[in-house]
Amino acid sequence: MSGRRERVLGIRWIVTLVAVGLTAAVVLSVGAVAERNARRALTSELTSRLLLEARNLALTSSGVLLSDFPELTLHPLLKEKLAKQPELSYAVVVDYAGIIQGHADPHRLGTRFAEPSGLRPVLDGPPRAAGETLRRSDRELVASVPILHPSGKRLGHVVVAMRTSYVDAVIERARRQQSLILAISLLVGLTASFLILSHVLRPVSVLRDGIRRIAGGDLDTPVSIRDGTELGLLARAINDMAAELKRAQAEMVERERLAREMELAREIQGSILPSDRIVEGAFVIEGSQRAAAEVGGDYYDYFPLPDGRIGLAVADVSGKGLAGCLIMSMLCALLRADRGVAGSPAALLAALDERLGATLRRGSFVTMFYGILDPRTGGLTYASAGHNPTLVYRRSTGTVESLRTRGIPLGAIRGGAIRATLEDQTLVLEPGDTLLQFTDGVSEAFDVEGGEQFGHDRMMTALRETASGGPRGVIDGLFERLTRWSGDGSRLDDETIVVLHHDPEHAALAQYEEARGRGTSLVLDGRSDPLEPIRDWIRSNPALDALPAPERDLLTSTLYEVCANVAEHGYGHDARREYEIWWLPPKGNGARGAMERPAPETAARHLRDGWFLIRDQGTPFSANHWKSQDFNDPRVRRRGRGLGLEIIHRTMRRVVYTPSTAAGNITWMCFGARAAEEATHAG
Amino acid sequence: MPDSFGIQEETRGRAVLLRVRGRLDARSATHLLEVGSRVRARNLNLVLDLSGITFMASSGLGSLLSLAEEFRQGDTRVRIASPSAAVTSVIHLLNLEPFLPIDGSEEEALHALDS
Repeated sequence: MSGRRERVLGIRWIVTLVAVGLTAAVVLSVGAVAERNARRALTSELTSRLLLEARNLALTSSGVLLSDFPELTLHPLLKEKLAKQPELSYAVVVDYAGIIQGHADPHRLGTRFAEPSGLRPVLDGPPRAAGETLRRSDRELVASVPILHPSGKRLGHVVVAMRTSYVDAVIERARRQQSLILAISLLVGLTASFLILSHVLRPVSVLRDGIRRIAGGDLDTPVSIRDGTELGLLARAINDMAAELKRAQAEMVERERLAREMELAREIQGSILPSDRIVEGAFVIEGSQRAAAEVGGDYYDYFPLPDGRIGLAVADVSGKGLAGCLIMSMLCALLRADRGVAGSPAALLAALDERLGATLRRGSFVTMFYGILDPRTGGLTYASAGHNPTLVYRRSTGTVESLRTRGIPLGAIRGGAIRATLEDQTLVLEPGDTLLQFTDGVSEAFDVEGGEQFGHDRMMTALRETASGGPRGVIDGLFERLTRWSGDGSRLDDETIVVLHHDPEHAALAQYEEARGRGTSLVLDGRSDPLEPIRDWIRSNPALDALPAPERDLLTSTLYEVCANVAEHGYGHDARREYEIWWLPPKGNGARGAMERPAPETAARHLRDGWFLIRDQGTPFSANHWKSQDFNDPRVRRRGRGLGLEIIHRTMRRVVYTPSTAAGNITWMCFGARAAEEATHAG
Repeated sequence: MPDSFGIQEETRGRAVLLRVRGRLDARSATHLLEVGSRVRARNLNLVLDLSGITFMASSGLGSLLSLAEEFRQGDTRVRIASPSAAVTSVIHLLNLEPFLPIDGSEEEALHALDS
């Protein structure tokens, strides 16, 4: 509805004008007809009167014409008649010889009567006897009546003429009278019509104003009409409609408010979950969630622990909506607070139960899986508080294990009873093995008909068929199967999947892909001396060039030793073959080369949080575990060899070497404090 | 400092002072070992002034360790005088100070050898 008020022609005016117009038309039509009839009647009366005058004069003249001197009688008679009746233009008595015997003008007496010319007969008018005529011209109406002897013999005739101007004057007077009456009738009629219709149609204006108010948003002021006609019915219907609109409006506002809150809850929920995978050593951990239509309480997380191990959590809060979302947020906060402190997974779950128990309502609970991965050994220690079984695909056998543990859900029974039910379990993930954890939104998804759930058997099959694709392959494959199973409609529950995959090559390739995506690189050939290129490369990278001198020198030395190893042992100093060094800053600190020069202490921190990657396609090293040398042994000192690897492993806190991947030999390492004496050569 | 390698030799009593400058890598380490072996053959102590070292690769470090061990077997010693930051950082990194004793100056190193 535009703010501008539309100008419309009111129906009151339309109806009134139409009624008034019709009334006027009728009155005028009737008036016109009446005037014509009146004109005819008057004309007829006047002609009748003229004829009667002529007849009377003829009758009077019949006896006078037989006298000796009829003119003596007729002249004063006619003179007096004309004087008394000025509408008569003349009256003439003419004998049978055509001689004027009677005339108001004495000079005309005895003269021959000349019939007036230019007369035409009057066709209508009063009936005439034989010999009688009525004629007219533009100026006169002439009646001629024969004068008859009682015996019937014609003695002469009388001619009486009346001025048509007199006739017209009479008619005009009558017309004026009539017009006046007509005008007064019209005025009264129009006024009455207008007043009556305006009164009758006033409710229309009230309705119009009421509808305008409703359109303008005023739903509280009713349309007030006391009317027993359809207009009153319409007013009541409009009032009912306004009340209904108001109620619907309030409901809509409430729904929008709830929808906004749900959306906010969903955003908060999404922001808590990990945004990316973790690659640690030869392990890749990745999770994904497809949210239900209503915000829910599924949670998953994976994170490095201070001691180098990785924590992995999957949880499902009972109940949906904001309540589930709030509990999930609390769980996330408690887990982040306790994960570095609690010992085993079972101990952590027990601690969470104690903290959550005070907050959860009766009947609310949380199922949760928590595991700690040691990427150096591949060992996973885990515990479950009533959560789904853990599925593990074993590459060596091609089978999937379903591992259940004891443990009741968090908050199910208050008072710490959970401790007696929790137990830590361990498993070892060999290269190629894949672990899958999930929430029941996945396993309990119904098919399109709503009759059968997806189930653990299908999940185990899906895992076996997709494990070779790494975590992304498992996640995408499982979601695709779920979509085919349940259709594209809205989900009743969140579907959460977390995959832990032991594949050195996969991890290395993932790292290489990330390096190519956002890192900076240096390309060298097998023959070049790498020292100056490395120095130039470091200088060209603000984040590295800002390092304090000791770190920068150590970094230079370490990268030099890596390059020297590749050039000598991998390429045999072949100038035709190239290898790459990549530097990836920590995420969130700018894309390749886009960083501003940081302060030295910040640069040192970034150096420790980022990592380097070397890719070559030379002869791979042997896949033996590196061990630090014992320099107390004089033989070691005398030999003076292997110091390059020693420098590398003392400078880099983590070194992962994966030979013979699809992209070549990949080494990735993180600069830091002196690492443990063992590092991993994978493959 | 330029990276070009060079060794300046000076005999001081029962010790030979080798002032080594430039880059100590696989190639230059071989040369250092040869020179050092000649000193060892004369049964003299060795002071290595490494203040002029601009870069030390693992092979250079290995040559120092190897020389020190060779001299130790013959009752002679090697000391390192006023090493540059490129040298000390690597020696510290690998905790090799017990095997590659460091002195602040040539005179200190010579005095330590005398005593």
